[in-house]
Amino acid sequence: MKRRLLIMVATAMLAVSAFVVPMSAATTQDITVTATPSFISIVVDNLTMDFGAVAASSTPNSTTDYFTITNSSTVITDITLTALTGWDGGANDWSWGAAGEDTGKLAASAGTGSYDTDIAAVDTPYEIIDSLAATTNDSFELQLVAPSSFTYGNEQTVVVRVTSAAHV
Amino acid sequence: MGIMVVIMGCTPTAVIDPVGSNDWNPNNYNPEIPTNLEGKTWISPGIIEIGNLYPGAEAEWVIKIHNGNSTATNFIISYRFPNDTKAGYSMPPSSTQLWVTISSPNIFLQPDETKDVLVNLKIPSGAVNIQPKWEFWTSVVEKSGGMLETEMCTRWLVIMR
Repeated sequence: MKRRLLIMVATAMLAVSAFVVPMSAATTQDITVTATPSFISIVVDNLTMDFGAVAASSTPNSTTDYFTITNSSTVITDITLTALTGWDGGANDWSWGAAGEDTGKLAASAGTGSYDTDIAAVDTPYEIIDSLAATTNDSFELQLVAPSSFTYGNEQTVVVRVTSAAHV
Repeated sequence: MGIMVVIMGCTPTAVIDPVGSNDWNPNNYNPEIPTNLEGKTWISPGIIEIGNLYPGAEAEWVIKIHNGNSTATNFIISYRFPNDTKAGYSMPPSSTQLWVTISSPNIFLQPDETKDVLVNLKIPSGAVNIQPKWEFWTSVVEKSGGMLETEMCTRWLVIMR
């Protein structure tokens, strides 16, 4: 009788142990979501740039500092440029890439006029400003790398996205 | 014990309020707005950290979007693949775009209007091969109609259980 009782007690203890362990895990590993109050804010003036009629193999550009970024972010940010979807010429689009027949691209720089940031591909972000301090303004400029020859003489447009994200 | 596991899987999103009030409601995210942002377009927060997430669980937070323009403006909110990640974090799993739900992906704000957009991340219970620490972004694009448009991003840093 004693032996049976001991076995029952031992079995009950085992059951309690098995029950308690996951409870502890559940209460000490809740999902957490934390957000330190911070703000991302940029405004770019000069939302358009018209290169006008361009010659083959030319590299017309905006003036240095043509696009001003008013950065009111409360954290350090990185700024990138992305050419979205490539050239739009209606029925006759140029291709995006190094100068070729009906093929051109953009280059950019941040206030130096060197145009050393090659926007080589579409839908790809290129960093133009690394670690822009909070509430510090900056600028950039664009250059067109025109096709080496034209079959399509119609107007071409492209949308450039200016992206700001916290620097980590 | 089987029942316990089911209960853990259904644990509601536990949210720690960023200002320490222990309020679980992400809609109560109301940071003090700096004076230099008056008349400016902004989003907040810039970084959100999720901890102890696991397949079958979800987490959510709001992105506050403010229109500082003098005219009504259209904003597009979407999941975004990161340009880069914080040191120690991986790029997001390929299916992450399917795991993120945005309450209002397209909003039209009047001048000086602010709106909260809820972003929910829910990892399917069967998801596998998820890195311990990974990152994704959400994007708020201000549609200008011009050659240039601006995009402001929030970084989501995820640590798995």
